[in-house]
Amino acid sequence: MTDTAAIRPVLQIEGLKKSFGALNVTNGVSLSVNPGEIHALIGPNGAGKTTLIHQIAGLLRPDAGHILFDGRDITTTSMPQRARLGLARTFQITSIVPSLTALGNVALAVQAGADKPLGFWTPVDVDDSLNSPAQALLETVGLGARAGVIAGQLSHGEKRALEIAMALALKPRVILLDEPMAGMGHEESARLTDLLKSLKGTYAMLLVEHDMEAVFSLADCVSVLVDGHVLATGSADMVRNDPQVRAAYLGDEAF
Amino acid sequence: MSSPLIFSTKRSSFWPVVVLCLGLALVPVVAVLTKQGHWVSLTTQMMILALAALSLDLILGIGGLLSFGHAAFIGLGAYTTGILIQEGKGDLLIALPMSLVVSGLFAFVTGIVALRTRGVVFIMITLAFGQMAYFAAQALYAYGGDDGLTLDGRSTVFGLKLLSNKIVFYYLTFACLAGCLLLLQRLSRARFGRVLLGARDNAVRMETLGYDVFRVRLMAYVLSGMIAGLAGFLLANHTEFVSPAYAAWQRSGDLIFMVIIGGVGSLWGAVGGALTYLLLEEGLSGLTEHWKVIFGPLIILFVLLTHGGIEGVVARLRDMMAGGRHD
Repeated sequence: MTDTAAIRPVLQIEGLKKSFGALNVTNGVSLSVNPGEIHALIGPNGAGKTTLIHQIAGLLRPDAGHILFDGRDITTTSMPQRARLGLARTFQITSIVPSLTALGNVALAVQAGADKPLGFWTPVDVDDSLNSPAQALLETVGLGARAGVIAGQLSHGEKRALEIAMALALKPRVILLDEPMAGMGHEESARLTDLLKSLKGTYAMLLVEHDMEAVFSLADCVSVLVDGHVLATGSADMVRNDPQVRAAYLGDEAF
Repeated sequence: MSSPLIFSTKRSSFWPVVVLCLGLALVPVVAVLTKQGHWVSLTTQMMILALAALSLDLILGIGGLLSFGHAAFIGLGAYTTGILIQEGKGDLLIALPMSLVVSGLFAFVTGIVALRTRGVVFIMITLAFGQMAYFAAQALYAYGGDDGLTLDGRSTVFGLKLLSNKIVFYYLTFACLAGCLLLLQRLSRARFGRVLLGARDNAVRMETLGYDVFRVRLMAYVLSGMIAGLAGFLLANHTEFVSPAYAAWQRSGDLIFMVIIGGVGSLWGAVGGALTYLLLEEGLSGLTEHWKVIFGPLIILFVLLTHGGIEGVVARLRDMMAGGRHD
């Protein structure tokens, strides 16, 4: 911390604890995400990754510890407020508004940051101040041609891309990605990896992912979560060669 | 058709609204010409309940909140108006805003509690609040208690007895219904409506986008309560009578049925549904005193067979016609 050249992390978690009954799902987790970096969070099923994401996003309140966003303590800040500060997320299980079109979903996210997010009078379907940025974001994630499709009818991979477009629409500083590749085919996840790579540098991301190929090609920093605590943190190579990590989680066949 | 449709559930409602409004606007003309004057009064009553059903559709259809105590707002509006008339302060300029304020306040206070719950609990809590209003009205011994209260007359307008004229009162009611329908249709397509709809489909998602879902729902709930309160103001004036029955849970159930018959979430459907429901009730009760035995199954059959109520039928007819043209 005395090193003046050090970059201040945009997201910092200190000693986070959460238990459900006797089960310590998050057991003193500390980690930080620097601006423009992808910090990957890996770990076996049940390690507490999604619970951790829920706490950072504000869906769950931690029992102890602190969450700092851009130096500001947001541990008790409400979920909508965190979103407005610039903390966006995607869900492990796709979370969209199924009865709106793809464009409508992204426009709804754009609207959240607009001057009058709750206008009573002007119809939204002809509101270019929402729809133009929304269309541009759909192009970014490769859904430009699918704008008019009802979101509930998109393919699984398209829904995941739509979620990312919605997250980007918030103009976030940090994006929490909870297993964005889950359930995707090889080709789809390769496309999503390329997309995330292109977004890297602009946004800081905390990426929870099981797809090791994606993790190792994207992450600047990898943390391994086992039984609610961080077993190791470091560069992809460091973590890959850590004997403890190999024993606990990865298994030799992962390489 | 050039711009992509944002709402999947929102088909164009222009023509149904025009047909409904024109039809209702012409009722007094036809009634007077055919010397069927009682239709004016009957249709006034139907439009008042249609207004209440419309207000319910905002929170039920678009907001996804099944309120089982909506009649309480009618009761509050009606009693506020009734009591003011009895106390000699029944002028529209006092009674109307007071009815809106009282029903809006009740919606605000009960909404703060009820909107923290979901699903069945929400239904039960709104039912409980509704029954609270019902029993409170029963306990108003100074104003008729259980028996209700017969009023000395209707609200005056600037001291003038304009509303005692059936035709004037008809068009006042019509203006309220048409105005609220247009307002809510506009609102449901505006930013506010889209957030309300988004929260119906996926509330957690809306919060992670930064929307305060509770606040948006509370706003809709208060607006809905106030429109039902307006219906109460009209009902007290129309019947020149107020009764605890206005706030009873059976009435809340009627309103839910009207919305379902019309097609949940289409707004104009709620108006059409209310008119259909009340016309059926009127027609059947003229046939036999055991009309409810026919009415109940008929409503159930209607809901089962139409898939989406009147709005659904109209939409499918339209698709068929459009399909026919393409072939």
